[in-house]
Amino acid sequence: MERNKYLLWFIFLFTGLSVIIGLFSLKPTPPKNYNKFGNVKIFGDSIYLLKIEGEIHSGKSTYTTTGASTVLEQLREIEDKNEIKGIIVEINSPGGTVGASQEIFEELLYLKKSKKIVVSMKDVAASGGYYIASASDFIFAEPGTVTGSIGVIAMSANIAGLLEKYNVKVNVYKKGKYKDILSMFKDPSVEEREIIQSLLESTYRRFIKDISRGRNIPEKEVEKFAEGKIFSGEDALKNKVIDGIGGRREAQAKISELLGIKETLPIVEEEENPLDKFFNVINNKFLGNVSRDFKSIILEEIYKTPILLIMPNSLRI
Amino acid sequence: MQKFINNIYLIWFIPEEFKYFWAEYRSFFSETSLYFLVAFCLSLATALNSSSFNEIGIVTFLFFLHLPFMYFFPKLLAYFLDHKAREMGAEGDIRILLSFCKYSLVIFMLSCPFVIFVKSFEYNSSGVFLLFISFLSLLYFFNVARGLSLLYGLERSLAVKLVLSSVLSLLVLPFFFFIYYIVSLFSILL
Repeated sequence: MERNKYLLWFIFLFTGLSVIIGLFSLKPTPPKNYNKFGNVKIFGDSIYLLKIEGEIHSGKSTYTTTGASTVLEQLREIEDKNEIKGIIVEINSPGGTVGASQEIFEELLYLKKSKKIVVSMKDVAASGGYYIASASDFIFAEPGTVTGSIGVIAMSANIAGLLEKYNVKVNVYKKGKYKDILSMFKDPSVEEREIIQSLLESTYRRFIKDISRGRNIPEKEVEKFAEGKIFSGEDALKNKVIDGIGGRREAQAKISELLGIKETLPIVEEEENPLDKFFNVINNKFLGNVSRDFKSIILEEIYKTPILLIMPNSLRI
Repeated sequence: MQKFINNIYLIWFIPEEFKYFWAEYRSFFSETSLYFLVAFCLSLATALNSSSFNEIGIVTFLFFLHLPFMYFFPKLLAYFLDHKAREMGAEGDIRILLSFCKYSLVIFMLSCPFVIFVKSFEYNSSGVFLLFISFLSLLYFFNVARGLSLLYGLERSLAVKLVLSSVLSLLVLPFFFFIYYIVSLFSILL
């Protein structure tokens, strides 16, 4: 009788021990994503897929453009997730505003210390898009990808002649000599040109410096493929603008190679919130015009910024 | 703790003596902690067994799913069994039968060491876990049948039939149980 009681005690202790072991072998619940665009769930070692699509700007991403705040939130969330061994950055962007591109570049450069980062360029990864790509360990592009366009641009139309022709006068009230520096109603003065040029020069130097820092190559090497030149994927490889030809599969394999492991890690992507997905479908199906208007509002906001890291024209095949 | 162990010992090893010690070992604390322990072990085992949902959050969710079931199921089962036994002319104390049904639940605590054991051989699968839970359920039902036959003076085979028919009735009644079975099954299979 006593033997059975001891057996029972033993079973209880064994169960208690297994509960403790079990609790320690559980994975902590991933914190809820504060990004309203979705939720990331990671099970085991994996690669995070980050998409940079459309024009790059500050603030939140939209369905067709990339906002620096959204990207930074995503990157900061995976920062302390040790299961994320690498990041594939898929870029399909002609560039965007200086500040937004620099913010993403700096964040990727910081993450490069703890995770392997490989870029896969899609149709276009020019200017600000290339700025971001330069923070990675390795850059892949498709043969037909348009890349490069390393330069800074500021544009302002001059419609003074047109207004004069129709006898229209614009009254400008200002305090500050250079307040209407990019005004479209007058020719810029020599001084104004110098100010703009100096601003562009310093931004350009910073661009070159950052690419050199990110790619770990001398600034003189960068200057060879800078000056706003654009390249196809194949030309970019010849000019060492990129490191290889390939897409997502190659990028995945490269991360394994950089990590020194044989197996290919699975890719985790931020899942779209079902509610957002639903509204996206509704938006695309029934409110197409509203969607276009929304995009034009965002683009309008981008082009309000005087200095851009963007490819001035787009190529269509 | 002593009362808790004594009750379990009596129910699983010498059930024929349980009715004599029932009043002495009766404890509200033991019964309440039993629900919590069983619900926790079962939810931890299910979460550990699952390859995609082995997170603390899932354990909490499953715990709150199992807890009300552990509380209501033995009660409903005891009432069903008592009603059916009385219909057949048998007499017994429903309070003792209820305690018997409650303390028999302790067998489900073994699911946790089982999962740890199987996991150490990297052989954990939903099918194996489901089989083990079915095996534990059968043990539970047979032990309750044993208690019923001892407490109401029924034949063992008749008690088994009564327990199985009562469990079948409880599969869908009340509706909450039906949802519970579906969610539990999914938590094991996913």
